[in-house]
Amino acid sequence: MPIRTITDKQYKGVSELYRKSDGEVTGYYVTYRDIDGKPIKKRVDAATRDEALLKLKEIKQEIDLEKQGKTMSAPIPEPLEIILPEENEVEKPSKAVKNSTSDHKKIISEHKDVAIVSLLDIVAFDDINILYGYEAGIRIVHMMQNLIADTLNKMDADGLFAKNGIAALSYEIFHVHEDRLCLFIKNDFKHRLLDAIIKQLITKISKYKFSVSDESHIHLNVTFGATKADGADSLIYAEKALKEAKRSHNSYIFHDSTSRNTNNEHLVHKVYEVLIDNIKEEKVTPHFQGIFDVENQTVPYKFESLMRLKDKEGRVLSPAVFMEKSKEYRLYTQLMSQMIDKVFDVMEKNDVAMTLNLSYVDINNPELCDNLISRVKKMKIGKRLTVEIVESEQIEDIDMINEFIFSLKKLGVLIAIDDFGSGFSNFDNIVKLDVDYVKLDGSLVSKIHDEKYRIILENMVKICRDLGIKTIAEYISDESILDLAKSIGVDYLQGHHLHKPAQWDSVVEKFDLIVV
Amino acid sequence: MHNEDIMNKESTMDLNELRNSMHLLRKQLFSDDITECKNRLWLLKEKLNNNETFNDFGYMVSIRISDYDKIVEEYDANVGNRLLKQVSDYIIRFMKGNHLNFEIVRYVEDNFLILMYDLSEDEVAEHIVNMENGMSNYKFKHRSRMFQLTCQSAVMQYIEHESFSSVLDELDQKLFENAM
Repeated sequence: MPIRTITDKQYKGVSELYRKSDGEVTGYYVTYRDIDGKPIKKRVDAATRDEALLKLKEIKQEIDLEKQGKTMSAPIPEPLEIILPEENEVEKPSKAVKNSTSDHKKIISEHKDVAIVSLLDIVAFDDINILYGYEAGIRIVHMMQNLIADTLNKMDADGLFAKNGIAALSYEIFHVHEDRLCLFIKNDFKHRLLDAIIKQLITKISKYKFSVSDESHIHLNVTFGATKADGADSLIYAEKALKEAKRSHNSYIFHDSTSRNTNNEHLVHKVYEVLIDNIKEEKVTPHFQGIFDVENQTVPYKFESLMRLKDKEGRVLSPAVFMEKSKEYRLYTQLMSQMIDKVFDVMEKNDVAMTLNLSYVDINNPELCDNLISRVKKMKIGKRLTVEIVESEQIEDIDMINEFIFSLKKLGVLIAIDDFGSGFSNFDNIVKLDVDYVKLDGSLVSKIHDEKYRIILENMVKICRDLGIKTIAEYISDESILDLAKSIGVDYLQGHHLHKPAQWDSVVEKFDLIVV
Repeated sequence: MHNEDIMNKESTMDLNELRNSMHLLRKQLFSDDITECKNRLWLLKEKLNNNETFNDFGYMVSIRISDYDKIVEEYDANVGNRLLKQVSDYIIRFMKGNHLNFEIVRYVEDNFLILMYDLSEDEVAEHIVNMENGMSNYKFKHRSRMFQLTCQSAVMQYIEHESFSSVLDELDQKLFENAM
């Protein structure tokens, strides 16, 4: 039976195979070009034309990836063949353009003099791959390389570098991977000159028309992270700069490496050692701070458990020292598991109510959550436990959080939201999440003497009261803050003025608690 | 209202205004010109006796920013000043966040002196370790420039009538040893 090409443009590359007399389609063929550009027609296992189209897309993606791998491993790029639109006036690519993925680390680390290392990522490059295909993505990266080389060459020809005391500009551009390029300038630029160059490159790139087909073009933005250093560390500093630029949504960040040989790396390494030591030696130490009913400030209504670590000298380290690093080193979950165990041990031995802080990262961790729920169930401590959701501004999947909340609520656990009002961004959360308490953000409470902040806090308390949610004012650091917090109608109080966080033994002693 | 009452009220208002002006002037006189810290004059006039001995007791912490000179050389004094402000803001925020009883002075260039009260030596050491380590995680920024600064520190207890210069000398020696 004949193979019939589908005329609908949407199904370009898909053909139907007729075998039965009633015209029922019994198979599909797809047409594409292989890695060498040779046309291929192939039977695919598909029940519908949509399924066949999907198979064709998968095949094309595989070919694109193969091509990408082939191109990236090639020592000298073929992108020189790319025909760039005339209106962009990009000249033939410079020899400085390299596609090698492995050489750049070696070349940069072996370079003995001060040099500039700049990494750049194309903003939302995934979208380009998805919408225009991998082939277009690769083409765009090559265009970008050529555009940068051309811009630098033009600056050189215009005498910009000579005017700034650079006799001969020497640089290389590497395609590191996917959408990442590395611009390695083997000259020692003054920082203002580097700023000016990168700003010009950013402008040039944002104005450039990157062609995605014969008829259309797109505009792109890039993020630069740069540093000036010698030796192997420079790539790491550039990496840090790029990470920060992306995090802070800046198009360019320069990481200073002037003080790189001093004790920053040493301190960071020491923190890593502390993390490992605390995990191995099970030294995670919960501290507890009382939360008081406004009507009774002598005995806490419940206690907030706070994670602390100990260094080798036995000094207590606060979360500002280790929290971010523990997440970066992917050691946080192990610390948190220890923390939960130790807090629950205290709850088992003492008839007290506790709050346990969980972040979005914790709630996203099925093992940690399952362990928590099963222990709460087994120990029957649900009615004495409040889970405090911290960093709630990071919550993206409300349904997932609610699912977790309801599984806890079935066990009698209460839910609190921490830092309510910080950045004024989490109002939505108290409506969408089934919470029992909100903790007013400490930075707002600390400014309660300022009438404007007091009005904001008072209204936040009112909103919570109307929604049936109790409020806790943190950061009660003196009598005047305490009085003002009471005057705006908060339900509970917490802060150094009432009780400083301490280990459980000290808490028992201070409040004369009875240990079971 | 009698004339006398009016005159009394006016003089009280004048006195209050004068007090406020004095307070403001004093604040300006004892404030560092770059940071939110107090200046050397404050140290001399408020913390020391006429013979340059301490008029109270506590702990003095000397803090220096690592490679501050190199940074000023590489960039310029303006960038250096911005960083001094950011570092001192960080220290003040840390101290206030931990509800500590303290005073901070920018003594010279990048050398800050922190006077801490109502704490034991171990507590001071613990707070300083936390402050230093926290600072290494902190990103100081000036325009599109990012700095990961660290500091060197040394702690000394001081008592009433002890010579300021001898405490400072010992702190400098400790800083030097710590840097080694």
